[in-house]
Formats: sequence, structure tokens, C-alpha cells
Amino acid sequence: MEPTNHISIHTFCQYHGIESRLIFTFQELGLVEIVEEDTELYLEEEKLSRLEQIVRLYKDLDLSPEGVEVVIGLLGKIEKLQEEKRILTRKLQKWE
Amino acid sequence: MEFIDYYKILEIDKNASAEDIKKAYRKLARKNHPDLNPNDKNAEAKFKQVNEANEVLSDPGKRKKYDQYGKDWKHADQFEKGGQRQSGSGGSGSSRAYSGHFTEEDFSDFFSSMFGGGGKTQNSGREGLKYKGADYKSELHLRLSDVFQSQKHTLTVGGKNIRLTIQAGIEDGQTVKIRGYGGEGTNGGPNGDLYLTFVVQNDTDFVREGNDLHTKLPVDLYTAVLGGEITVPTMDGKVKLKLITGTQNDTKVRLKGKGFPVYKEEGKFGDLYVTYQVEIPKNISEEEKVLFEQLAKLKYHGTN
Repeated sequence: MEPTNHISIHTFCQYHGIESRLIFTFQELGLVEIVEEDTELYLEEEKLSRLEQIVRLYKDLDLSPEGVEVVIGLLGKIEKLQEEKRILTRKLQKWE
Repeated sequence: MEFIDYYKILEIDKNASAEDIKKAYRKLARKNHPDLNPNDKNAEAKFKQVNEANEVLSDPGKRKKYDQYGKDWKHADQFEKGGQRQSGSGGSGSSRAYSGHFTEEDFSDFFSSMFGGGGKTQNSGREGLKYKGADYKSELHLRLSDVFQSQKHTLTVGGKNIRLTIQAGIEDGQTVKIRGYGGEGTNGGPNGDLYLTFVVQNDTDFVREGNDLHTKLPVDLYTAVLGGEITVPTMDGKVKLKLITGTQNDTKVRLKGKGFPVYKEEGKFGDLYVTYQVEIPKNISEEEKVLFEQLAKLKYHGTN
């Protein structure tokens, strides 16, 4: 198995110009997982793109963390529906 | 290179206040944000324009220069020759740090010619820290007949050549992650990854459903009634099938292992389903008509 790389919350927040408090708020909302190792707090590298999407929504669109939670939930639903649509369209081709 | 009307892009007039600009930018950003419009290239392009317009108009220095030279932007460089060129740092408060879609920050040529270098100054002050490069997303368009067999492709992404073996049986819409082929890391940080989505266009007469293929095969009336041999095209050549006497329309037969290769399982194939479509003759000659009538009489009057 590939080793999971961890990025410290401090580094992530410095890069994106956000406060670490925001990450904890996202954690409370169940949007982010934080890993604790030797009393340091880390984020998993594999999950960074998702967190970066969350941060973009928060910053670019001026949303509240709760607003971001709603958007992420709806985006997930849209993705699921699009996948279902893709499968159904392919099945329908059979009847054309 | 054309003049770009940043005011028009933000749908505001030339006297718009800083607050108006901010509002207009937010509104259009919400509408066109790539995270809210996944895979929508129009929205992505619009979002880039909106960002560029905001980059200029929200910065008093840049806005002044833009307003001053406007349509004569071509001459702006001449005015500024002699070391007067703005350094480009301009004090932009923007901290757009896209590690997702927009790392290239490809502002228009117009922007570069006027302000130099593009809006990439936000990294200043971060020297010394290692960052993973941005992830890239890309699409590779293939034909269904191409992915019947594994094949090698060479792609060029961000100036780098990637030699890729595409395994037979890859699905339409499937995304693979290619580690290290995204944007370059900062200060020796690791490169980002490339997410490559395969768009597989069906150029065959088969319908693909997972690993199975489906096809409809016309069978002439006489072969269906009397039985016989027919030739069925498959992905790797033709096969002959025996038809029993009295084969019904819409009969479906399964040809085991004649479907599509199973992804990453060499030598394993799905099945091919063939549906017979018995063709009733449309224009028959007088002679055929007489013979059909004889058949009909036999059927309804029961003589032998």
C-alpha cells in the first residue's frame, strides 16, 4: 500500500491564507477529517483536493461554512444523478 | 489580440464604485464558479474572464491604467518605456490559490501586454515553504474500436510528454490518476497529479453495456423459416451461426466471450448478445406473390 502523506494544518492554512479555526469548523460539520500524530494535527494529502474545493467555495463565493456544507451536499447529489443519467442513457441506446 | 472591455464582462458601467465592482464580481463568480459547474467549459472560460476583469478593476492602480490607456493599450508600453514599468506586484489583495482548476492562471494576452506577467504575484512572501503542485484535469477522446485492445499513447500535458498504456476495456467517463504529472511543486515540493478522464465515443454498430456488447442482426425471412447459416460480425472478425428452422423475430442469442475485454483482466471478455430481426420482404414480384398465395392456401385449407 502507498504511504499516506500528511500535511500539517499550519502549513495548509498559511498557504491558503486562512485561519486554522476554519478547518475545525469544517471538521465539526463533517466535511474534513483531521489526523493527530505526536500532538500535531495533520490533513491527509489524498483528501486535500476536496478540502481545497471547500476552501475555494468558502472564499470565492463568500459563503458561510454551513453554506459550503449545503453546496458540497448538493454537488454530491448532482454527481450521483449525472452518473445515473449516464448509465441510463447508455441503456436507452439499445432501444434506438 | 483584441481589446477586452472589463466593464462589460462584469456588467457594470464605467463609473462603478469599488463596492459595485465587488458585488458584480461576486455575483458572476457565484454563477460561473468551476466548482459549481463541473465539466462546463463555457462557465470555466467565463469565470476566467470575470477573474481577470476583477483583477484589473478592483485594483485602483490597474484600473487607472486601464481607464487611461483603454483602447490604446497597444501604446501603453511605449509610454512606460525607460524603466517606468510597473513591477506588477501592484498590491493586489487577491489570494486566489487554486490548487484545483486554475493554477495556470492563464489571463489573456491583453492582460499580459498591459500589466506584464499575469496575476501570479500572490506567491511572493511564501518563499521557503514547500507546496505540492496543482492537480490538472484533462480529457482523452478515444473511439470504442480503439479501446478493444490495449494501446500506447503519448500525451503532451503542460509541455511534458507522458507515455501511457491504455488498458483494453476502459470505460467511457473513467478517470485515472497519473501521479506527478500535474503542476510543478513550489520550492522543491512534489508535483501535482494529472486526472485524465477518458471519453469513449462509440464508432461501432454495437451497444456496450459494461463488458457485454449488444447488436441487432437482420435475418431474411427464408433463412428464418427454413433455418440455415448466417454470418455475425464481432469486434474481432466474423463468426458463423446456425439458425434453426422457424427462428422467431427478436430471438436473442449469447455468444460467450465475444464481448468487450474486461478492464485490467487480460484474456477475459464479456459476451455478445445478438438479436435477430427477421425481415419481411416489402416489394415482391408477381411470381413471389403467387407462391406466397399458394403457401397461404396450404396453411388455411390444410392440404398436406
